[in-house]
Amino acid sequence: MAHSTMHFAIGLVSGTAILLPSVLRGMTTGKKTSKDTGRMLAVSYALAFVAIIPNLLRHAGIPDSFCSGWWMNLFLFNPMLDKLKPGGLLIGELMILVLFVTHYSIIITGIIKVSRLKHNQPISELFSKN
Amino acid sequence: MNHLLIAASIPFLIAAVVYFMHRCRASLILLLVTPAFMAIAMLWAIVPDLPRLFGMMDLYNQLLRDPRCNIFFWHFTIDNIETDSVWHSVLFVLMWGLLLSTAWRELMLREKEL
Repeated sequence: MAHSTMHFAIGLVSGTAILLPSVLRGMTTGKKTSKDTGRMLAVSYALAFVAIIPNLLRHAGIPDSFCSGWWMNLFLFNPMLDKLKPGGLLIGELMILVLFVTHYSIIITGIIKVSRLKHNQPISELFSKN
Repeated sequence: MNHLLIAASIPFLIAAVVYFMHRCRASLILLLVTPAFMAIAMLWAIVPDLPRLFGMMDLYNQLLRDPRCNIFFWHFTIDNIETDSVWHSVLFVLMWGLLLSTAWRELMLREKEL
């Protein structure tokens, strides 16, 4: 059985992979990115939650035969992943860490871009402003 | 998880105080420094556990019984009283989520001000 952090990470990866292109497109074309970024974060964390629903049900005491049924593949292939990759706590934690850093970096890049547009200032001066 | 949670919560709470003092606005430097200090604090908190990672079990066992390890965010005390709970993970995720949402809110507000 795969660890719940692995399922959570798979959900995060899926959401990020779906919406990252639109965020990057907005960044390169100079559009406002907060809406796209917010949508990407919301979808990523929602999918991460969806991916661990069978684990949460199991934790709540629902029989394992139900939680491991083929229908649970609806939750981002949860039982299939359980069979393919047992364990995966460390990989899951590392994936979550990488995705958190990626999300945070995207937001910080957006803030730097907005500040530069607003004040038309060089990047070295950004750190002294609010 | 207790070590990481307690260590990360110290810079996080300090940053939260600064954030509220600035009427819920975060400077770029605050947004960069907070996660960096959280990461450093978490690393500091697990220093006595690192020998185990590198297979140095003698040193690990020695540090495990040494009360001076309390300089690593009360590592020795926590090891003696800690209990395992799913709420530690929940609180940890909540903390990172708050950090991420604060940064995103700052981006949104700055875009509105353009």
